[in-house]
Amino acid sequence: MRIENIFKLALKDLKREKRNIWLCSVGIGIGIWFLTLTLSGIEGIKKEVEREINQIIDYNIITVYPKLPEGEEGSSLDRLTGFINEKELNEIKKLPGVKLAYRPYDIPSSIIEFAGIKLPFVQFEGVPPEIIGPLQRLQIKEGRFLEKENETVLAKKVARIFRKREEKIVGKEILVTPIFEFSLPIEIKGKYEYFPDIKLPPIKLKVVGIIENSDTFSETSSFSPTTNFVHLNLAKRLWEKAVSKLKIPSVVEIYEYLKKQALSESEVSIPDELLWQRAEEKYEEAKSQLLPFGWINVVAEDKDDVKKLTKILQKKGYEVESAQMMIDETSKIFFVLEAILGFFGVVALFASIFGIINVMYLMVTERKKEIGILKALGAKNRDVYFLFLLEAVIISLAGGIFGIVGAFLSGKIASLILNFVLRGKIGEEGILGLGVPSFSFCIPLKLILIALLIAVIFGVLSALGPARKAACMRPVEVLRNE
Amino acid sequence: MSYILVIKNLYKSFFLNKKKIEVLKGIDLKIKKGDFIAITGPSGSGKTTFLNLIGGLDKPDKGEIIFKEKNLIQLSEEKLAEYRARKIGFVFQFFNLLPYLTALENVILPQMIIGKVSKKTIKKAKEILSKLNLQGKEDHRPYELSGGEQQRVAIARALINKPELILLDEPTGNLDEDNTKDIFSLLKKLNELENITIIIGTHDLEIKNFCKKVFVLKKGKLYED
Repeated sequence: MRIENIFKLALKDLKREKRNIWLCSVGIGIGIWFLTLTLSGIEGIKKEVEREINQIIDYNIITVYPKLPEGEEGSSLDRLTGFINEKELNEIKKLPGVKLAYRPYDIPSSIIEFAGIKLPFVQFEGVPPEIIGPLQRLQIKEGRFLEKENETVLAKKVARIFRKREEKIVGKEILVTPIFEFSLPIEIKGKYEYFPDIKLPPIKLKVVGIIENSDTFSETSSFSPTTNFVHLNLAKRLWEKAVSKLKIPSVVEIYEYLKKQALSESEVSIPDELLWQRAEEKYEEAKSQLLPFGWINVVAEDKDDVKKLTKILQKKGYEVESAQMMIDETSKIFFVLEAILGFFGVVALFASIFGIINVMYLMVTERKKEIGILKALGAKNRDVYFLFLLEAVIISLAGGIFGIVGAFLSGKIASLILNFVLRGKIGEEGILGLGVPSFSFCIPLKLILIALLIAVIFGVLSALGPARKAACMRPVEVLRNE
Repeated sequence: MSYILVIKNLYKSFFLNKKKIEVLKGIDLKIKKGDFIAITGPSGSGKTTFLNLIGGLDKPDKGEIIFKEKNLIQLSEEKLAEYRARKIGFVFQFFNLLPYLTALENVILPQMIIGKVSKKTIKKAKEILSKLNLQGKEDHRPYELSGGEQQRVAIARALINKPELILLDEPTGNLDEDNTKDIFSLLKKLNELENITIIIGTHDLEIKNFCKKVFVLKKGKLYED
C-alpha cells in the first residue's frame, strides 16, 4: 500500500475518531505546552539578558588584561601582577581587525563649575574621539562628539543639573578642577602621608555635546549614566601631571616608620629582617601607583573580528573580556537550565504517554473489524502497522501544534502580567537606570520544530505496541468474532 | 481444460473448550475458469471455513489448495495478502463496508491497497457501481444505503481489482427475497458476461436456479447435489 493511500485512509478514519483523538492530542498537547512554555520562558530571559549585556557592553569592544607572570595567580587589575606595556600595546594595534587600541585614562573625581553651580565628584572618562563610531550605544542627544583636547561631552544627567540655572550649555565653557585619588599603600600618618588626593589647577573645557545612555562598557572602565567624556590625550596629560606631584617614600623611610610603629603597638619584638622585607613590599606597592591602568581597550573593526581577535589575544596569553564572551558564558548557564526544565517536560510527556497508549489500544480494539476487512482485502501487516503509526503521527502533531499554540497564548498573557508587575515594583527607570526589563516568552522556530519532533517521537513511541497488535491480528479471527 | 482451483484432501478443525471439532474432513474439489459453484449446507456445516481457506484467510490442518498451480499452504503471509488483493474478490454476509468511507471510496479501497488510484480507477469504480444499479449513490455512506445496496457495493468492491475468483459467503443472508433474487441474477450475469469464476456459500436453495453446479457440505464432506 502506498504511503499516500495509507495517509488518505488515516485521515478519513481519524475524522470519525474525534473523542479518542481529542484524548490523545490533549495528553501530548499538555506535555508539549509545558515543555514549550518553560523553554520559551528561558529563551525570553536569555534574549533579555543578551539585550542587557549588549546595552552594558559594546559588542565590538574587547578589554584586554595583562599577561600574568608564569605560575603566578592573582587579579589582572592588580598593577603589581601585570601591566601591558607600550611595546605590547603597539603590537596589539597592528593585529588584523583592530580598529583602535588604547590604554584608558580617567579623571575619577572633579569639581565642575557652570552658571554659578559647583558640582563635585564628577567623573570624566578619557576616550579617543574615534570611539564614537564603534560605541554606537553612546547617543549624542545634542551637539557633537569630541574632536579637540579642550572639549568635553557631558552626560545628559549632569547637564540637567546645570540646566536648572542655564538652559543653553552646548557651546559654553565650563571650569573643571581635576582631582586624582590615590589609594594609600600603607597607613602612614603625619609626615608620611604621601598619597593624598592630588588637586590640579582648574581648566576650561568647551561643552560640545550632550550624551545619553552612557552605561558601563566594561568592568574596569565604567561609563555610568553620569560619566562625562574628555579627549584621551587630555586625560593622560592630566594624570601624568598628578603623578608627577606624588612623592614616594624610600624603603629606609618606610622601614623606619614600620619599626617605630611596631615598637609602639606590639610588646613582642619583630625581627629586623621581616620588617625590612615588609618595607620593600610596601615600596613596590607604592611605586605601582605611578603606573597607569595595566589593561587596554581594543575596538574591533566589526562584530566578526571580535571572535578572531579574542582567540589571537588569548593565544598570546592575555586575559580577554568581551560582550560575546559574556553572552557565551550566560548561554552555557541557560543551556543547563534548559536541559533541566526540558528534562521535566520530557518526564511530563512520559507520564502522558501511558494515557495515550491506553487510548491507542482502545482504538485498536474498537477497530478490529476494520483491520479484519483491510486484511481480507489484501492489506499487508506492514500496511496496517503504518496506518496506525501514521495516525499516531497525525494525532501527536495535532497535539504538538495545540501545545505550541497554547504555550504561545499563555506566554503572551504571562508576559503581559509579568511586565505589568515588574513596572509596578521597579518603576519606569529600572534598577540600573536601564529601564524596566521587558520580559517576553520567546518561541523561536528551532523550539517549534524541536517541540513538534518530540511530540511525534512520543506519539510514535506510544503507538508502537498498539500498531503491532493491530498488524498481527489474523483477519479470519477478527471477522469470525464479528 | 486446466483447473483454476484444485482442492485436495482438505482438513480443518477447531478447538472449542479444549475439545477438537473437525469441520472439514478431507474435501476434494476441482474448479474450472468460468465456473459458478454454490456450496450449500446448514448453518455451522463449515461453508465459511471452507471459503476462508480458499480465500487465503486461514490455513488448513492438512491438504492442498492449489490456485493456478500455486499451493496456498506454502505461501508466506505477505504472498497470501497479495493473493487476496489481486486474485480474489471477497463478499461477506454482513457486507463489511468501512462505515467512514462513501460507497465509491469503499469500491476503490482494494485499488488503494494494491497502490493504484488514479482518475481511471475512479471512472472504473463509477462504471461498476452504475452496472450494479447504484448510480447516484456514489457519495452515500453505508448507513445511508439499504441492505441490498450495501451488498451490491460489496460486490462492486470485489470486482474492482478484476479478480479471477469471487468468493461470496452468505451474500444474501441479510437480505429479503427480492434483494436475494436480484443479487443472484446479478452474479449469474457477471459469470456469463465476464466469465468470472464464482464460488458462493449459501443455505438459500434458490441459488440452484442460477448457478452451474451445487455442492452440499455435510458432516465435513462435500457432495455434488
